[in-house]
Amino acid sequence: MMPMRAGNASLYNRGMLLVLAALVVGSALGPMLWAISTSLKNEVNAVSAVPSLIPSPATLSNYLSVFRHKTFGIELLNSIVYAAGAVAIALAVGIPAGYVASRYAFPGKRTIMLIILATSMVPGVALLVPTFYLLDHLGLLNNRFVLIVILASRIAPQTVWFMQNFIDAVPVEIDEAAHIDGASRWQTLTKLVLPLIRPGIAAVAVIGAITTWNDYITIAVFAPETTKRTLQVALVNQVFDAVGISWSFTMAFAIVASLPVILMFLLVQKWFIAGLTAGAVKG
Amino acid sequence: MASVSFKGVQKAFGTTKVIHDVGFDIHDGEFVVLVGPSGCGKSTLLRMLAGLEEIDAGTIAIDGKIVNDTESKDRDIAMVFQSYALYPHMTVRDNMAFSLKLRNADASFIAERVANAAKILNLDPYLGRFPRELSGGQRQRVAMGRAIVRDPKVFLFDEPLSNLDAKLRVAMRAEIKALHQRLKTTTVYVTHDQVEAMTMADRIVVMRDGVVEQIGEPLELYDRPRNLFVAQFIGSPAMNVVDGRLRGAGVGTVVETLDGVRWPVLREPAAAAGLDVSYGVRPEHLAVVERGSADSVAGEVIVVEPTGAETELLVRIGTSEINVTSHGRAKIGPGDPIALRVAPDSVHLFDQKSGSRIADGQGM
Amino acid sequence: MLWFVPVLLLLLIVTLYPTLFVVWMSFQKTRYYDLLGFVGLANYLSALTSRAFWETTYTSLVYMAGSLVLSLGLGVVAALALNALGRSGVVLRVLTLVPWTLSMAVVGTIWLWLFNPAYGPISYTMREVGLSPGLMLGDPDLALWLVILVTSWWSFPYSMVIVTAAIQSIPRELYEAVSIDGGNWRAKLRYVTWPHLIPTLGSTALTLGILYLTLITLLIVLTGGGPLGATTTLSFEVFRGTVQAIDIGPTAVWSIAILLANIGLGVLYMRLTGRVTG
Repeated sequence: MMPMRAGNASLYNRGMLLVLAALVVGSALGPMLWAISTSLKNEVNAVSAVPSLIPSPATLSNYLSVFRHKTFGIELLNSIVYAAGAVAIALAVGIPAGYVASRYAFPGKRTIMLIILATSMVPGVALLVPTFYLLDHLGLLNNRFVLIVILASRIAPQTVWFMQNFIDAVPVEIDEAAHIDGASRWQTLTKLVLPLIRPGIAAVAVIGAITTWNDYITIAVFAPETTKRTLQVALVNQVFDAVGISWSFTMAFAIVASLPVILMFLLVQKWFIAGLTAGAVKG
Repeated sequence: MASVSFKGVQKAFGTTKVIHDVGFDIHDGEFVVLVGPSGCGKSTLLRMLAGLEEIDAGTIAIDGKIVNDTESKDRDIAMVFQSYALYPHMTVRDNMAFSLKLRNADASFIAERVANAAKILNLDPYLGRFPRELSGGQRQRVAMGRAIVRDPKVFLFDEPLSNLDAKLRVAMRAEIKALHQRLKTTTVYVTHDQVEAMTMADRIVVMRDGVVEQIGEPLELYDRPRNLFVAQFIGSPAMNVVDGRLRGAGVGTVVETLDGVRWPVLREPAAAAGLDVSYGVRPEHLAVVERGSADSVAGEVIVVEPTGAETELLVRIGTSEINVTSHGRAKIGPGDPIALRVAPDSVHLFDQKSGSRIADGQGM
Repeated sequence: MLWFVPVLLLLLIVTLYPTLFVVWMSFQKTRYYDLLGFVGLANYLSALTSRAFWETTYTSLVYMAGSLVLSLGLGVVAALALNALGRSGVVLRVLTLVPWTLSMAVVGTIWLWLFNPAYGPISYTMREVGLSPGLMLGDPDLALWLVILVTSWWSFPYSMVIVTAAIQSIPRELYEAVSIDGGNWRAKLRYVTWPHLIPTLGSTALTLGILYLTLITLLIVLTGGGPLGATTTLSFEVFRGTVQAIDIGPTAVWSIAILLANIGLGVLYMRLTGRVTG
């Protein structure tokens, strides 16, 4: 049985447990509830001397203002394009590599896997200065495609590993049967292996999309132009504008900027959790 | 349909040599079973024939054409895997049609071939189902159907029955054999189960540690095993073997063991008295007789296992434990004294050092 | 193999090349973004002998240690509590994990508002119970601790998920054996759960340590490294050096310091989890 319930399942312990659980969930969700509450208040109520959790009157006007904001459209589009583009590139390079990593042994494979591992250990922050310098000299700052490639490189190593693991789970006899049936390596991958790991691909795509969508630093540093901004960058810039800030509008903006991520997370939460714990628990 | 020929074939994984210089021929239309304990190289040999493993040295030819550098798909072979390896996301129909589709065969041709295979294998009602919706035996048949539609030169089977329960295994055994008799396609079949090998094969190739120990028709292997390994591998329960020394001459020759038991040879061996030999006799060639009968050895019953039609006895003779298969039911129990007579022409002698068979002398 | 070429090209160009380039930059005399020639170890000497570097390193360490203690502690408590709830705990765990999916920009913004000294609910509550909220994030003595609090709020769900997985991988027979031997839940926690958690806590600490070491956005939003440099970590300083671009040679050195620390923690993680790919 579970450690705390086992043995002495007295009512007292159960009660303590429920209080503890409520505290845990409450402390996680409380700040978000406060943000939602503020986003539903009008600008005056948001900054009343006696704050209250229940907005009265409740209004959706902040959300309307967010959607009507003149740069919101381009920021949303940028967020989507960057995330989708980065995930597409990461999958395009990660799937073939993961397939070969899973299926073939050849001299140099260990070296290649170590290179991928090593690059995953280079933190983005250490690359800020050299990348900015190089992009500046090449005239590639504020370039959408360059941003997408940089974001893709951040999620590429994990994509390779995930793909390798998923493909490991597909029996190799399937490949062999396909070879004998006359399928080329590429046909084996696209017609047999990929359809079989579709849920895994979806999970990797979502996890990569969440990472990319949430990025601020890469976009803010390498694409200072306002038309290249994402929702995250726009949100932070509002906060910088400390004088003119409307907290109810900013909270609505933060929630809108988070909704896609939360929805994607809820959609694949099982895989998301499996992805977090993969390799983290030593049995 | 085609012949298959192995010549000087070798294979190593890393520094471990798994196939040492294997060479034999399979005739057109023949059903050949590769059998041996696990790790003997039989599956590796099959996979080399299939093009799934590289050939380190030697040649493999199909229909006279060396295929060492030919890709699997161009060897015109079909294979049934132990795990069936059905494509899980395709229906039975699509599984069977896949190879033809890859070859860009036209739709009506594919439909005809699939329908034909489905009819042979009684798969008609299942064509629209997915593999996960089928029983083990049905999956097995789909795997065979996938091979049949190709109409290949050679069928390869890699332990195809080992995932089935005992009863289904016997049924599928018969089905595969019947299929071969109908299609007459050259077939190479790998198994570790000697009963499967005996019942299905035209010829059996017994392998051990990457070496072919003996090739022959099933009864030839049973009657005249070339060495101790084949003798004990073929036949169930396994052949009894005791070590001793040849004594006497002519038809009166016996093998005397260290504990003093004298086992009758009942023929003249092509070896001189005094040679250390292994004396083999199959459990079914020992008969329970009156104590003191001619050509019999005496001992004591240890275990009695009635199976209905037969009774398996474990008997202690001297210090050896001997299996006996006795027809009918024995009114006998553990601890009872017993005498066993060796059937004529049923004794196998092997050189104790080399393990190879000692032939008969002239006469018999 | 040919199929590795695309991913290798991507990583070599976008990650490995700049990594080597920053090493080269660190040996250059610089002014703004101009490289003015080789100066040997001058940048290293000036960085390693500067007060700012060591103060910032100290802040980084305090920030990492504080966040680790709080995140792991909360994570363990949350994991034990929700795991003990059984089925209903599964749903609650998913809800609790939501903060972890939020971007640091959003987390920072929400907490900036919660900590607002005039209108935020936290300062209001403090005033109600008779405490002086002061400047909250504007208070040099308090700011780092508040940032640690926010960091932990954001990351404790991660610890929780990992610890939960570790708890659930403990064979049930061990608890049954303790029961048969007459142990209560305290004994089970002490002799079964805890020993099984130690290695997992170690690897989680390293993962989170890497994250905290390299985290920037939260600091940008919450404090901008202030007040008076109270929350300026190594990574934040590298960000500032990059965008202000007064003299990037030293910034390159700082970048390399983070890189080395990161690789050190990463290698330690590999050793601990025994996870080697290849």
